[in-house]
Amino acid sequence: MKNQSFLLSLLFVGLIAYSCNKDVQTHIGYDSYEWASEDLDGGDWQQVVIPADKNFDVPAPASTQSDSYQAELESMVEMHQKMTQNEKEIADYWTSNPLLRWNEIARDLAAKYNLAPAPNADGIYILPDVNNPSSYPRFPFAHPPYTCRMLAYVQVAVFDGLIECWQLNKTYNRPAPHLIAQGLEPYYAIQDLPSFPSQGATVTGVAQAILTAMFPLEKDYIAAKADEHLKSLIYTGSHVQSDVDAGKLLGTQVAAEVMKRAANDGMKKAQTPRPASDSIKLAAFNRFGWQWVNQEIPERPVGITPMFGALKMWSVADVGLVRPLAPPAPGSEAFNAAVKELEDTRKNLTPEQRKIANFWSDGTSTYTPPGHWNRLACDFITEKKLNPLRSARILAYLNMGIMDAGIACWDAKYYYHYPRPVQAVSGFKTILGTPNFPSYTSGHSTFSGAAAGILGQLFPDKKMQCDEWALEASNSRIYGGIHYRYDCEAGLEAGYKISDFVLAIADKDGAN
Amino acid sequence: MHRLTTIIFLLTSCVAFSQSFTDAEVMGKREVCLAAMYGHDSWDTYYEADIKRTNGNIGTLTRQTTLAAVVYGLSSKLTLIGMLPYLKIAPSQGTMISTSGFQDATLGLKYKLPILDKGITLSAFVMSYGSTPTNNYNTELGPMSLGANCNEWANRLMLEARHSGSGLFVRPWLSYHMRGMCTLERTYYFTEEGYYSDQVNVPDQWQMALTLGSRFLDNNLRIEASLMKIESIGGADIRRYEMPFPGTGMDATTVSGLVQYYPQFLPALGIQFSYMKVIDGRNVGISTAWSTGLMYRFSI
Repeated sequence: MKNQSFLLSLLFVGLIAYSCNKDVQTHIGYDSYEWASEDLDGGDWQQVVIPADKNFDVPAPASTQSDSYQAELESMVEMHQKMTQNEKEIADYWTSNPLLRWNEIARDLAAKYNLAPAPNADGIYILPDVNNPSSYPRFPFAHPPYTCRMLAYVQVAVFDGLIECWQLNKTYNRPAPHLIAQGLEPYYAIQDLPSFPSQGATVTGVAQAILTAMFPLEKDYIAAKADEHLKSLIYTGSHVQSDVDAGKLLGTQVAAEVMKRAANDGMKKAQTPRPASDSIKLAAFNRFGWQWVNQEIPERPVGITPMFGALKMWSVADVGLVRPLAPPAPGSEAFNAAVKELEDTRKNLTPEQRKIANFWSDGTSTYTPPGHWNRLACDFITEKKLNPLRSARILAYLNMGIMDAGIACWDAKYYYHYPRPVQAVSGFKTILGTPNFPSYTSGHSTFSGAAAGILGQLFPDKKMQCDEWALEASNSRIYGGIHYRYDCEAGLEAGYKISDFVLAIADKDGAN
Repeated sequence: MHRLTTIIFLLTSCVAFSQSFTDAEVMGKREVCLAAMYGHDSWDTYYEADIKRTNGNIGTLTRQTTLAAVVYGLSSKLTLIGMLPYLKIAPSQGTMISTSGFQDATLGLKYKLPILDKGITLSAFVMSYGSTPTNNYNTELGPMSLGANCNEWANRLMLEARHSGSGLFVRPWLSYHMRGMCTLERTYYFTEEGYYSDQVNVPDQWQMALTLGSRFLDNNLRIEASLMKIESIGGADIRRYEMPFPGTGMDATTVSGLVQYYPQFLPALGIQFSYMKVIDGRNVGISTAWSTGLMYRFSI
């Protein structure tokens, strides 16, 4: 009997320890920090889209002596004194660098909308319709091309908006409230940057406008997030109402200006109808004697965005400058060697290789490889305690490079129209789902080459780490069985090449 | 007289399946039963959330399970049970790989509490068992994953009323299955919102069943039928045209039948056959399963 009780208690204790559930975090615990620099002359930096002579309609602020300012200040101080626990949690969530949170929201929205349309009962695939976003399949399908472009416009507009904001900060030079109100201790670390327009509100004005355009069904969700942040700027003792209003106004206008570029960048034509897709396929067949065919059942007749390669690039004048040489013909010696590597890898996949394949997979229901690199960049930004303007600069160039990588990669994909391993190798099976676009070159590799090249230059102490990650992300596709080695190598090389074009722009923007 | 100890290996299809302690039998002290089972489970239609659909990239999914079990009587009331399944899962179509390997090892106890013995024998059974993955199998393969790769601790209360004269019996049970965390090989996943972690909360489950049956041939033949329900607590629906993953909340209602026979000429050896069908559910394959097994008993 004694023995039994012992066994029983042993079992119970062990199992309680095993089964304990934990809370899983739904956002990254970014901490507030004191900005490492204030970049008071940041208003002079070169913008990406906004022409230097462009002026925005932001009325000059009232003097800090004025009754209206004093009334705002008084109301703000009162709100700050009455700050509730819930408001503190909201302030902790947004931090003193809210563009990291907006980047995270953008990533989450990408993941939410990254679902491949299902075939209907007749086996026909219907595509999302921008004019009818809520009918199934919802608009957008945030696949990697969509997501890289979305992130690029958000981050470029935030960068341009903040340069504008820094300019106005200097022009109007309205002192921060804690320099006026005696005894006011803002919730976030004290910054002495002028407060009109609010830098945070500018970020939120931009992000709200662009994300709403990119995810029309999320309008209310995004508006609620924006309002929550704008309110927090006041009760944290950071800004008065007119600072916040001006920031929001500026951000909205900058976003509208940047979206003019988006309206004419070629995205409207990227998802071609079937006849155009067929003629692209036929052109490749006539040129090379091979063609990629989707292997899903039922077959998807059109790949993802066949004309994405024709989009306007941020840094490269002509996509031909970064187009790789043709891949080896199926059946050639080089092809056979690549296939043998895939088959050997599949048979002897190590736990480490499987982990790498899964870690970088970033497939449907995730923020895609562009989102993955954004997350890594945000970690670097917090580590270096960059101010919002410096952070915006990093994320703008990163995402310009990533989008250009997407464009270049898609150009190669549909120009060469190269079959995937599951098509070219009879009976070949994979641990990852094979994406709905041609094989050559690897998107993961191109995105990662560009991202690592840019981040490695902008964070020199992270260069080795970034290069390692990029190579790992690139190899992950071989481990997953969905790319030949030359897809990955050519993609990585093109990505790094693109990073040089972007860095050439960054070099001349006046920030160094 | 308790003659037999059996383990019904219940196949509930899709990512997670549970090996259940669903029998009213306990072993005699120092009695051992060794069992080997084979199960075959397949579906071509499944519930994606509550949408009933097929999937050309899977075709028919077949899971074959080979299970080894050891049962030992610690006393006439307390039985120790251990088991280990080996799975083979293959889709009939599409480009995704098939998988195979050992899944989760289970160890547990079953305690019998006699309540009444007056023409009708009424007994209660308290069971507690835990399972743990035997290896770090891949959970990123949707329905081809061997399991949810998490620890589980189940506690079950069962009653059995048996009419000694006719051999008829009825057996209801209810159990709660605490399931732990699964560690993914990535640090982000999305269900209804994004999670910035490699940890997935595998949803707990309620399971309940009602079994009716009878014994024949001097208790050597047992025939029974069951209605069972599995309900996940929380857990996410499979997203539209997405794969299930360890955080998916699966519900199922199943009907099953079981025949078990210990031949008179060789009473140490038992044979059984069972059949199971999912009749309703959520995020689960509408599977049809059968299993067969051999049991061998002896004393030490």
